[in-house]
Amino acid sequence: MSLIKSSLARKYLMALSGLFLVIFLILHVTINLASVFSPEFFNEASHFMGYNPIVQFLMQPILIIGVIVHFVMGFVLEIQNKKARDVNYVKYKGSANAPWVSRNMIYSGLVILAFLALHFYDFWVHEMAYKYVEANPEDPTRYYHETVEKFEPFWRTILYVVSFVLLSLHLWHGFASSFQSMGVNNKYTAGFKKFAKIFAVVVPLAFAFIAIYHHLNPITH
Amino acid sequence: MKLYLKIWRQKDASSPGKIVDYTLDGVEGDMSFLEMLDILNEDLISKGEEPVEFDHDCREGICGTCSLQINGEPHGPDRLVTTCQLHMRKFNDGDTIVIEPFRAKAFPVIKDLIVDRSAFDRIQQAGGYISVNTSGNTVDANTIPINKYAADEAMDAATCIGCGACVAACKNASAMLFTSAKVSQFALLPQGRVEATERVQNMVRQMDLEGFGNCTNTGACEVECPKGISLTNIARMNREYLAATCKG
Repeated sequence: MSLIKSSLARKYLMALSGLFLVIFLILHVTINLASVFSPEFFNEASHFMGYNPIVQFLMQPILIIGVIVHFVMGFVLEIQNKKARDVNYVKYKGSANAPWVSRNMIYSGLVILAFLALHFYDFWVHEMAYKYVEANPEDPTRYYHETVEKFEPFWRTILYVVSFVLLSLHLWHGFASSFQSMGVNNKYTAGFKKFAKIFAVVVPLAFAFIAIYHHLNPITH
Repeated sequence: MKLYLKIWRQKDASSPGKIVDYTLDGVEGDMSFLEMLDILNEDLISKGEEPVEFDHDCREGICGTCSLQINGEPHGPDRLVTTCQLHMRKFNDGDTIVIEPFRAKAFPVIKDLIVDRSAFDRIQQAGGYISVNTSGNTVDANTIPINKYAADEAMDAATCIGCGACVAACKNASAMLFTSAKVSQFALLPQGRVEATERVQNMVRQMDLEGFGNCTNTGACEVECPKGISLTNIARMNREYLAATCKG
């Protein structure tokens, strides 16, 4: 408990939950890319993720806990940080010494949180209702159609793409930052920071590409 | 040159403060920032007004006493210098300069531009030392071999003058760069390893108790530090703390 009260422990929790979510993003984008290149594989992978008991009842709760820890800790840190400067500067030139993304993680995080609410409503709530409320039989071929149909409305595609831009900004600072928080800063750090920035662009770009691709290539009935 | 100064004036810790405008003529580029303030104060005294209170001591950039948030940056726009080593040639004729005290809940304003930085002293007292027997059996430090890399890193960390620019620059008013420099300068040396576990735990605990914010790795502290203390020290402290916590 004393560990949780420490400012450094909160940093560790932020970093570890963030790194866990980065790993999840890699898995997520890999499966989603299949919806563009191989709808059959996408259906198989989605069915596995949707019905495998280890994924459903172990991995999914861990993921949800990871998301909650990351956001709750983010808010706690933000509130404490605001309290640490009770009188603000008349003139504060933050841009002189730190990039915009690093100073505004709370805002990129809030947009991602809002996006997650929409994303959960779009896919997770629908999935839970399909399986457990309506108790529909298993259908391993439904996922591709369901996904592509989601991106028919222009507004949803735009909201997703804007969210991916903010995700990119969040990762731009957060990915490499998590290693610093865990005490990793050595001769490989400069190289890793470059990799983390490439990752921060490529992964959200892939998500955006998938959304735009499905919007432009609707299923014709 | 002629300057338009906007300076935070505050009678004492419990009074509200405000920005007061001053116009100062005849400022030379070779003057230091503090000399410029000296001239302003001479003007104010000659007019029978209260001079602007500000911290200063060595005026050689080594004591860490001078502070000031100048145009939104601690120690002003120049890099790797303290306010006393900032020269007026960095400004132009007709410039408006906003001068404020370092802002942090843990650095309360005492008067005008002077803040109470004793929170740093208390962090230092919590563990920033080594216990050495000085009762006649003192061992010469040089009898213990230390590798060059560790010696250089420890010396770099030890150059921290505790001015508080890291706290002032940080959007979270975090004292992680200061604390980590003080942890590192001992953690890297064999003499400091003996008390390493308790040191990092006690210093971090005191840092939290003082009400400093949390580090979010923006790197502003490293940029604004007049002594170039590196963020690698914060990573080292994070490692030290994690190891100390695992040891229990």
